[in-house]
Amino acid sequence: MNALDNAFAALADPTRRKIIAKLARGSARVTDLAAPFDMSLNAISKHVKVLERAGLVHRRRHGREHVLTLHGAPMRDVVTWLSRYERFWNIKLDALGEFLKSTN
Amino acid sequence: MQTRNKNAMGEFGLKIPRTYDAPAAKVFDAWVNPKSVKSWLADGEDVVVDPRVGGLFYLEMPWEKRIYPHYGRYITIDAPRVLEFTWISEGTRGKESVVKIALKETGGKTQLTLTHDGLPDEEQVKNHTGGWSAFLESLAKRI
Repeated sequence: MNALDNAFAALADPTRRKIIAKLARGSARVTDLAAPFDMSLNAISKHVKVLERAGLVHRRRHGREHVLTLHGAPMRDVVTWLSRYERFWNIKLDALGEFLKSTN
Repeated sequence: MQTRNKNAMGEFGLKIPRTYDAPAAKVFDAWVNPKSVKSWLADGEDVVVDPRVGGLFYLEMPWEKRIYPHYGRYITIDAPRVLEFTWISEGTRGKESVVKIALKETGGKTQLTLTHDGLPDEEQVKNHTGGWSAFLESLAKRI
């Protein structure tokens, strides 16, 4: 898996998207992240590890506390990739419309 | 049994609707007739299409100042309603994504819905944020 594949896979899960959305408002500890979810700390930790592997979240240690920070670069790659295909198909479907008109 | 590489890009997809002032049979034909394909979809030198289930296609597509080869195989051919094929290119990093063209004719007009799966997106995200890319873009801006 390359970086973009990892980012896509990491973002495919709704819980992980919620974690990302929360971290977008500021850094947080793993325990802070777990609070709004009906999930064990262990389950949240697993999600955080996936996000870390994808390079979307960075972890810093402050003594016993682990502080998580969002890292946006891999997400920008996803946006770029997606919008390119959206643009591609829109242009092609417009061309199909022109073609159908021309052969009426 | 069709096989899909769901893991290629995650389990998301693009969905783009269009309405054409033409009967469904004509719209469908434009996707599978080599001459038509060459005039609107792939205007490169080489176009090979073999529109039968399991048949392969090869398209050369100029895009952003370069020629990109695209290829795939047909999964569903149900004229003039559904055409489904795998889609492989440099953009998919050589992995299979799946494109589905669904047509619905009403009063001489044809509603086309293109979905491209194996790309990132999910309905639930759309419902909450009005679009996967919009969601990510707004996040990217805040970081």
